[in-house]
Amino acid sequence: MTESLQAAREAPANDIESLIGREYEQGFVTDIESETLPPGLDEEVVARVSEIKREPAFMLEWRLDAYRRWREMREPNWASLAITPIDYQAISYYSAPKSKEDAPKSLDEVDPKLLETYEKLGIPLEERAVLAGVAVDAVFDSVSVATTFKDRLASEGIIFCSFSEAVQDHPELVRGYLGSVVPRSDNFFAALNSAVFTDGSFVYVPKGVRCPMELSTYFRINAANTGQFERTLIVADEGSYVSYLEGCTAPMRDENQLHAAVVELVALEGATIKYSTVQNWYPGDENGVGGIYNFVTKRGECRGARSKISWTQVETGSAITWKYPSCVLRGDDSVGEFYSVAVTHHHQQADTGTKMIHLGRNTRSNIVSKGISAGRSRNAYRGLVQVGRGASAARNYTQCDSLLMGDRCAAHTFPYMEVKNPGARVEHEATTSKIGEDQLFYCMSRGLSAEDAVSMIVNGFCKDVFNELPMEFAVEARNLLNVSLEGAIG
Amino acid sequence: MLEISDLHVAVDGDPILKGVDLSVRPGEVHAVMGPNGSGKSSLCHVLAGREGYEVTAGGVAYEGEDLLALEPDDRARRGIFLAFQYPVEIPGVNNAYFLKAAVNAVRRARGDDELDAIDFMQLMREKVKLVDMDEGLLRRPLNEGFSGGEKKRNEILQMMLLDPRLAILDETDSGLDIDALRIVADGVNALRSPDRAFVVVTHHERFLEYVVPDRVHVLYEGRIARSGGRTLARELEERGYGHLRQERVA
Amino acid sequence: MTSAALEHYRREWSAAHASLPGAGVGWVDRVRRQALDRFCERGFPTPRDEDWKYTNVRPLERRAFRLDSTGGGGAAGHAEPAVCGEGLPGLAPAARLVFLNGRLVPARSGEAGELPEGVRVESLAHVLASNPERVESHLSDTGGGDNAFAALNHAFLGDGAVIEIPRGVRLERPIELAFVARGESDVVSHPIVLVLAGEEAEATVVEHHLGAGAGAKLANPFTRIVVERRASVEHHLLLEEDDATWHTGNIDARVSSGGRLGSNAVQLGGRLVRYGIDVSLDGVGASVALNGLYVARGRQHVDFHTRVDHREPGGTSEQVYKGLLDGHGRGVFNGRVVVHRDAQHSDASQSNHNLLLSENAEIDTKPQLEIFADDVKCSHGATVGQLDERAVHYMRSRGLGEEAARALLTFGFAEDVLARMGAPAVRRHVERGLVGALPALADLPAPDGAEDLAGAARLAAPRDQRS
Repeated sequence: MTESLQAAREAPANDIESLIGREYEQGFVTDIESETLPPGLDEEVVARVSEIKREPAFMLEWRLDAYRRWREMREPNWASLAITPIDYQAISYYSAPKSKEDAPKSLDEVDPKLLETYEKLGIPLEERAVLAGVAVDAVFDSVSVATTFKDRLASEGIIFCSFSEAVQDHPELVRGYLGSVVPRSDNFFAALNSAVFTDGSFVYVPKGVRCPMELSTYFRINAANTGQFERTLIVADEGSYVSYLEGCTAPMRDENQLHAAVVELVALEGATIKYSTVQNWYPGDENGVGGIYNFVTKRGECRGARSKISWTQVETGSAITWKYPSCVLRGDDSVGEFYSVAVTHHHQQADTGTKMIHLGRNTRSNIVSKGISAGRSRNAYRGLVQVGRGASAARNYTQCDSLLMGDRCAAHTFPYMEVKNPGARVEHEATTSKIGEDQLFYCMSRGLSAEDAVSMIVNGFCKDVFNELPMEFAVEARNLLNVSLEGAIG
Repeated sequence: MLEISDLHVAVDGDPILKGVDLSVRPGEVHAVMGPNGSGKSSLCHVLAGREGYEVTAGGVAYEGEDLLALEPDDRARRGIFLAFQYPVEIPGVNNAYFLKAAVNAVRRARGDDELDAIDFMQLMREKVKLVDMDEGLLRRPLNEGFSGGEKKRNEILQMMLLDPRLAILDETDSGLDIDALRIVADGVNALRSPDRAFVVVTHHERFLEYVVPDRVHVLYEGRIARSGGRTLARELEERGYGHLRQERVA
Repeated sequence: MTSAALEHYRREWSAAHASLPGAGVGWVDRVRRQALDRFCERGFPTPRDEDWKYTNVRPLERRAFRLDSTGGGGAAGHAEPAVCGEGLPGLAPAARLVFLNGRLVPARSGEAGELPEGVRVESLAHVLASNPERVESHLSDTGGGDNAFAALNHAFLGDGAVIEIPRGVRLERPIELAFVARGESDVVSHPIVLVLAGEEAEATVVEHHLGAGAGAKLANPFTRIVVERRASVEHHLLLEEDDATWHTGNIDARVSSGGRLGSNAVQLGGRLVRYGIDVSLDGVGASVALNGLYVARGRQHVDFHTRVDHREPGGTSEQVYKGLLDGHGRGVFNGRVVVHRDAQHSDASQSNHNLLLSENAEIDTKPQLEIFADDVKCSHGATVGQLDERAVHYMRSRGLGEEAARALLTFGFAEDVLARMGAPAVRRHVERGLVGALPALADLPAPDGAEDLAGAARLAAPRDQRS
């Protein structure tokens, strides 16, 4: 290595300490009164959650059934993760900001401190919502606090509300679709969620309607010792279109907090759902203390012919991420997509990827996964492409790239391909690389600082995925990536 | 020998050829020139029978028969040869073995005796020398890892071995250095005969200095915009294709 | 169920171990007993084990396989060529050992002329009887992981082949090992192959497994290959057992600095075949090339699990596995590459390609990369699909009929990996086997396509290379 390059590479390394010392920007605690159930989980707690939510009887039945199944299940252990055992009896399963007796009717009624919180988070809840044209549902700990643009959407026949409201106002829709993609006993965490989920978002887009704006939910865990178990259900009726964005943050706490969400998407004939996530839960500190355990089940079903579901995720947060947004391609000619950037630093661990289940004829899927590992982190792609006997002419293409920054991190790739149809074409390609000295040298010889050069190269590495994000989100994702990786090269 | 009349071809619904007329008699060499995207390669693919080219109107007669009704291998057996612009790389299939299989398939169809390994190798050695090709390439998988020039020589070698009646060269000259160009041209010239015809698709007038055509056609926006003698190629070299648009507008 | 099966093998062991070769030698007894305990503790794998997710050995567990009770390879009648085969045509080995149900058949084994000085090709039973300490260090463990079948093999270790090439010796001609499974019924063999190549030694070993007779058989071999510094070993595994044979083999190889291993595996036969191939690159700049071809048809189930560990800097691994799946055949490929923390500048590539030739065939493939070092070049790719339509068109435009073009491309698909394997005699044998096995190759141009191809390739060679 030339001397100047050596010096240049050391320069950012000297900054590592100061950069690492930089705090998780979203790591503040909001001091508001909460109503929280005592820790522990039994049938009574499940019933209590259902009661607080004033749910109809079918929901209580559903939850109890899920709870009983969950008790029989074990945590999955096949992922490439080292997990400190979780004491499910030490978690509180319900925490809500104490507000007026009834849920807020408009933003004016929301606790100003809460609004302040969202402002700090940079969430376009009010003004920025208008500017960005984003309709926002914000979930704070366990309950949904406000949904903007409801009226505008209602005029198109679109339902966008908290899950609690949907249970009250549209029980027939909830009953018809809840659990139809992710069954209660799908897996350990999905069963737990089904038993105790407290809120989340619900979207229904009627036949032939193109949702005029991006729908968005922000999730935040605030209270200590609580888990967040939200549930999202999106139904796109025939020929409709919807784009949905999800963002997440949590305060800094020394103990690990559990987040076990379930997202179900249903696309009927000719419908398209685009689901984008920027996940920035608290990752723990540089010694691996604290951080969110993010065990999420996300699955969409292309139920009708020519339907399409596209997942895009940028995962920079959480101490542990266990997440496989998937597509069941049931309808003929349906399309599934998965675009992912997963960044791990310090002691973070991620085991993430997707499942593409081809059942219908001429179904197509495309997977692009970019993993970036730094520090002492572990980053694994795990993906399944399954082609059933009847899925003639199915096509899949998977591109899976890993970038390693530093010699103490790890990058793994575990693709599973199961093919039972001779007319299918399935291709997987993966590469592993580090930022090349020649790339760095080239950028620096054009006047860029080493850090800018790294940022530029990393962004280039992720470009295929960022291109899939809506504009505002892409900018946010890019910034997040730079913050997450500050001090990673050395 | 070849009669193309009012040929219309679409790819994925987009019209590419919009009424091509071309008549080729035995012994003749026709050059087809034209800017990028004018439909030159599409014309070649249609003649060879590649899938994905939909003939929406018009037709092609070859020796009095409907060419378009024939499968690609039938066309080859009846003497049509297309030198591909981008020959396909086929791992695992030995070049010499493939050549022998092809030569014997064509010979069988013509009622000739098949060549055994010894006779075939003798024939092949002879032809390999003519195209100045490294014999080692015969033992390698078909086109795999061949340089651009080696692939083109391999195409010409195949042409010599298959002994076609109508040879179509799709930009065989492109990407070749001057020596390789001369070798390819020599190969073509060696095959010129009163009962064999050539359609040479090229970008460069220079190739036509080596392979002197009887007729030159300019394919422009899916039609033959102009036809002429050898001098047309030179004119195009000097003036470019731009003026064709003005002519058409005028 | 499981306990009954384990109890069966425990009983078999109690009855047999005292009369196995090497019995009474302290370390041999110890290794056998420990291996049996390990096997019983572990039990047969089930599809719940991630490594056995796609291969169910339940049917095998249900049968009570026994050691051959007819007295082994020396017994009368076993020396018939019909039973033991004549060896691979054209291989011209330096030495050949033939085993019947895991025991040496002396009458069919021998050396062709004098072996170079210091080269030893002997049966394991002979070594255990005469000089057991020579092999002690190589038989004291069964490699990484909790491999039940390797443990079962060592519990019954007794015969097999020991091949030693001393430092600096280059063995020009291959060594041929033929393992014949002949089933009256439910017979099992646990042969061991040791290939020990000293510093800068070179050798080629062909390990050929065949089956004869209609009875159910289990072949459970274990091969250990030790490649010392700058030595080079080519290992060819050829599996051609009949439809009544289950095969659960393991290869465990270690390569030292600058050493090179070529691991070549071809499966054409067998009812259920599960092969584990583990290669550990233990020295700086060690390299391995893993080539494999599997052909599952009828109701065959074929599972190759490979693992390469890059433990030291500068290692190279290059892996190409291809599968042809026909009939109700099912293929499984699991390739794992682990680059350890200190193995900077490793270069690992891995590819697995599969062709499904029938409606009912199935493939499950899982290439895996686990990287713990940052300055490495690693890639893998896997495909499942059909023939390249552009290639079909190209061939047809040269006059080949569609069926012939498809046959030729299918053949080429296999040939692509066979060509990487070297050993022309093995290759020609496999080519002939392929043509006979797959209906998809029925239209291969020239009925003697495979021979013809090899012939054309030879003829095409310049004169000076032909003589």
